[in-house]
Amino acid sequence: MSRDALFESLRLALGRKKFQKPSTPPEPLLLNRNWTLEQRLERFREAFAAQGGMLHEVSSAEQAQALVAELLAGGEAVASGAPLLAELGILALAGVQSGFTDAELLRNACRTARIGISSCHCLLAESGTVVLRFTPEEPRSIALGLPLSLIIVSRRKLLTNLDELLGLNPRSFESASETAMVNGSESSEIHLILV
Amino acid sequence: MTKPAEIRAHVLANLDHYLAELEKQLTGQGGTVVYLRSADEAADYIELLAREREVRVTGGAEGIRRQIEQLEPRLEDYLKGEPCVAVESVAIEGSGIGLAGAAFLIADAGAICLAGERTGAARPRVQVVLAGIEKVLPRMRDMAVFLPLVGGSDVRFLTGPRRAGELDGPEELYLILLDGGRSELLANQEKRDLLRCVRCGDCLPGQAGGRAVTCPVAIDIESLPLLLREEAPAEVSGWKFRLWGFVMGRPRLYEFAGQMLRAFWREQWGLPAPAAKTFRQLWREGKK
Ligand code: SF4
Repeated sequence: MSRDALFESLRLALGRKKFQKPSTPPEPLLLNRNWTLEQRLERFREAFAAQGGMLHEVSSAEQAQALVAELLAGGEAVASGAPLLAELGILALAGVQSGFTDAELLRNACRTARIGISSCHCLLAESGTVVLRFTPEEPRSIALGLPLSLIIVSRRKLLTNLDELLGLNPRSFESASETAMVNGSESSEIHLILV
Repeated sequence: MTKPAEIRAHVLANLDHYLAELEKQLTGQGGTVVYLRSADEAADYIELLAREREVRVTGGAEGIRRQIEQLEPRLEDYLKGEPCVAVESVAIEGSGIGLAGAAFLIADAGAICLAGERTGAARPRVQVVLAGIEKVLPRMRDMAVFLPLVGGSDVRFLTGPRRAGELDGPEELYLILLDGGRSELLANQEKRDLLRCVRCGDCLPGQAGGRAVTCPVAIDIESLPLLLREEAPAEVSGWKFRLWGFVMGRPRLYEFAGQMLRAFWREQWGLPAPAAKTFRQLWREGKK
């Protein structure tokens, strides 16, 4: 069916003219809860654990490094180019491969590594959701493609809920090719380190 | 009318406008938008695409058509409780081409929303998404009221194929918009309201479990034409039917049943799949 024929029949069915502007669409109500950080943390801990996620809370780069080293247990990991990972010194740990600029090399590294280390766009406390946004720095295969997904993120990225994310900057979605909202995983283990 | 109902009614009354906006936005982000009349046309299109990309297709166009009907069943079939698969499918060999059915389309962001279990498990080179033309919503912030209505622990917003510098993600993204009789429903004042349906699954045979169902987009479920209100498949009775009822209330159990068993479940007994509820309940809890 041609596009024009479809649009013609739609306009006919709806009694609309070509290029006719619609009235303003009804506004969805966004729920603003104004939770404190402590309230958000409490809710997130609960919701994330309920989906089988493992949450670790640390307060320094050294603690984060020690935790990652423990999870690695001498094994191999691939890490994304998220600036936070470099800042925390994660990329310098033994067994962590990073700095990929070639698709083939990334694929090969992901074939042998057990852990994928990345950061995320934000967290939603109410539903325990991890929001990932895929970019050149944050490839899909590192964030979600390996047996263990290790996500390291700042507490500042903990939002209350989806409504807050949408209210903040609803157009931010177009800035990347994909945004994923993950609530637990049946196929892989998810660990989250809150810094 | 509820807020979701108002927004859906507004979209349907201006459907040509929102489809055009979606198309412009998604095309600008590197996607390809195609309008097709039926599942048959879509199957032919995908088979041709596979041939051009030198991807082998098991089961040919017929196999693809069956998948399309499961991914994006006609609204009438859906409301009758026809089995329908969550999101991703793998009829096409390797990970050359992936098929998915959209939960929503978002006009202002040029986004395709996939909602289900493991929606991102396959990583195809070419991603094809099927959607009925009615699935569009005006703005990304509308998701605040619509996402809580559908199931799935894995929600994805595809806003185009991979961008410059990205090392993975689909190289091509196709959105196939299916008419499939929808423009006729739209022309009929009485039936137009049916297209407000967001396929939340609440009113499907077996889901209600005796309680009164309120449709989130204010479709009068009681007066859905008889042809849409067939009960659970008539030929299924006795212990199979009881087992069905038991598993329907336990989406996790159904998920646990394994690929083979689930395929058998659907194909041999013709039983509808339960909607995954855990994630939906979570979102909803948040709304209280
Ligand atoms: S309850 Fe309403 S929106 Fe949900 S499937 Fe039924 S008709 Fe569609």
